[in-house]
Amino acid sequence: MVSEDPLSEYEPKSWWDDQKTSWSHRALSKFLKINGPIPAHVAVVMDGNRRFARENRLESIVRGHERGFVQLQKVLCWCSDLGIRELTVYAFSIENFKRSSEEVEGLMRLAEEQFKKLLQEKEKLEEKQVCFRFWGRLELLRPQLRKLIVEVERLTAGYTKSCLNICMPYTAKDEAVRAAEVMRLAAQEGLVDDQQVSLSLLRECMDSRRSKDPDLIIRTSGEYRWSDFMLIQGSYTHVYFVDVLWPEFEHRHLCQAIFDYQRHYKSIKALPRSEAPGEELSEELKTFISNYHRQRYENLVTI
Amino acid sequence: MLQKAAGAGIELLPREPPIQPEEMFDWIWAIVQAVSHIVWMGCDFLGWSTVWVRNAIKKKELQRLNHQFRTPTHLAVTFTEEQHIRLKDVTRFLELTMSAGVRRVSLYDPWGKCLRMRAQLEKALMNEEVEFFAEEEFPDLKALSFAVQLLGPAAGRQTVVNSIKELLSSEEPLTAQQLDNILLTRGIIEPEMLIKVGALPTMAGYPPLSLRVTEIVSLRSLPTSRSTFHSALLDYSRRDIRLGK
Repeated sequence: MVSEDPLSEYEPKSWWDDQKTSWSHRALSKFLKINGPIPAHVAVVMDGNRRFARENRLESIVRGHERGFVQLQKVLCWCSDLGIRELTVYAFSIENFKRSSEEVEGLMRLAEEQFKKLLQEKEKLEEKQVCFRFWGRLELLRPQLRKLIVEVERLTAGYTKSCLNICMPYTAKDEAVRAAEVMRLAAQEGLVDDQQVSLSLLRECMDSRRSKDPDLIIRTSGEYRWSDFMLIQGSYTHVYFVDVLWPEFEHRHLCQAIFDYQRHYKSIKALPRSEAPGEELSEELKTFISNYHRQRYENLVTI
Repeated sequence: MLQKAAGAGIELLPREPPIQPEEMFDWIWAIVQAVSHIVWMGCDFLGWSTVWVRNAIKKKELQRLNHQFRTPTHLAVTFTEEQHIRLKDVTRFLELTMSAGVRRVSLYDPWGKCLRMRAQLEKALMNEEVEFFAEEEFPDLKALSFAVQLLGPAAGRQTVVNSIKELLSSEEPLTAQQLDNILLTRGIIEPEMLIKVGALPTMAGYPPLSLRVTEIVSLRSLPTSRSTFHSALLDYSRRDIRLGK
């Protein structure tokens, strides 16, 4: 008789969980689809991996992050079943570089392993049609990881079924400053003046330029703060705080969050907003912004 | 004859022992437990679970830790429902914050109701040493013992856009510090604690970049009694602030 390793379930195996969904999952999904609109874009602050590792006496904190990664794969699968087209996850904050070098190193190694694995499963990736995007100050990552990120983005750029945005290393303030910098450079080129600066231009310059604002933000681990995540995009978003560690986040928690969203979405949508609409962006400006981002990606491989 | 036989038959069967009171109690207890489990499961799914338990625990803890409050220097409020913005409640709330030692309060609502209430609030608190100011007015806070900032819809994301406008002429690459400084001149400072008032789970457009690490406490209505306000402070006091670590 082969004894099962109790930790084996924590080890990430494949990106795609092809296990059959249980009847209870299917029933809940069906109920939610009938009950109201399903959020098109869900963002998650995946907090609680370290506490999970400590509470479960795992051999290292990195094992907790591995378990968190397994959870991400499950959630990706649940979102697909529920019809959520876009998922954004806060994987690593710029502030997290303050953590021990052992933990940071372990996390980077885990990310590298997983992206390599993803690239090895090209056929599955093509079948799933999931587009991967990376938000944040990617320049702070080590060259090997940056190269993999660029490769994954390029490979999945044309996939349209669903989208996974991975924020690493990211903070909302940093994203806003980088977007403002693009606008400053455009102003230096004479492409932007004061009158043209608007929220829509700011959006166009941000990492999230190809996405709509999230409909629902879920924060795990019972912390009641934003931790510098999607502050501008989530200004009018439904926020759902759940008192469970990320590796213990279950299908029913996701369903509860969606159910809560369905209860409130009309009232939240009705809140008054006073942002100036802004002028239509000129073709020149659009080209400048897209060239800037393309150049930035090319630099990621060369620097 | 038949009756007799039937009667005899009945007599032959062993009699069902009457239900003992202890058994009855067990049955009732099992039924009560089953019903309560169903109710709890329903409530848990709706997010209403343990409300009364939480309140009871809070009350107990409040009595025990009455002297261990961590009071924020800057406390913000965002209203997600218009009906909670009442002059009487806001005045009482400001009195409570003042007595707790808070030095600055920011009141925000997306309808601009707090801004329009300014004259009435000034009148209601004329005997207190309070300075009211709106967005882009920026008094010397160090000189004031208590200041109240009133924020309306224009203070939301549009403030970020307006701040960036001021930075476009910069010759040097932009930094987070530059953006912070511009936001500061517009009176946008990060509060340590934010009370979200109302049933809607959203920030309703509160100045976004100032909520990076703010602790959020959600309440159905603005705390207007000492006990509800202290309960909110207790909730905040128990929070573990980690800042990325």
